[in-house]
Amino acid sequence: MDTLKGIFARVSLETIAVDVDERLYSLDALFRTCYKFTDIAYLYLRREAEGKVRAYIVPKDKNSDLPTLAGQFCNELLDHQVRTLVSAESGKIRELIIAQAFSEGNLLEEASDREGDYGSDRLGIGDFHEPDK
Amino acid sequence: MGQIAWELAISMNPISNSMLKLQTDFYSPECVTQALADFGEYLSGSWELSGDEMHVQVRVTPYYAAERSRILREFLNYVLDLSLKLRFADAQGKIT
Repeated sequence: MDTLKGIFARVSLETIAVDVDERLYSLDALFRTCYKFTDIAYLYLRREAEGKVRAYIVPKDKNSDLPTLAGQFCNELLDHQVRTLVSAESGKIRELIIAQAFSEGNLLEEASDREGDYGSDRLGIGDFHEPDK
Repeated sequence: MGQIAWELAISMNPISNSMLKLQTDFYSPECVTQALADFGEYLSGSWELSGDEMHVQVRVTPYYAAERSRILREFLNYVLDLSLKLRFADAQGKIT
């Protein structure tokens, strides 16, 4: 089994394997990556050791370059891992923004809701005018 | 071990059954049952649980023997896809 640049392992002429360290990448990110790749490749997942999952990849297109495909898999995996991290960091804020968008009141400044009235127009909505035609 | 399991899955022996070893961390048992039903035209099979693995015995129907390798790989992909959908799909069945 050849190791290419220390990342990929070529299992056979048509199969390449990528070792995924679970300390660096979540299973969530791995699964989402696999889901995206099942269109262009045949995949098989197996935990080879504690904390190490091996993804076996066979391209559906026989003309595909195996290391390139494995590289794309790794990039996609990294992309999904970052998305997972960002989602965990900003999830609460995103939920609040969505809740605010669908809320009639002001979730961020409840006091302004109690003090204001429709005539005060604190957000300046009434300043908008249709341009003259 | 994993290499052996993969090579077994794609080995080209048109007579014998193929044994697919699928770990339950990645492949869901109910999805294997579903996939066997959906692939009924191309193969028949059964499975049993052995520790954290499912041992899936499949036999490609003789009519499709020439495409055995591709059918087994499609079957594996299909089980994986179903398992991932089961984990992540939203109410519309989409994975975001």
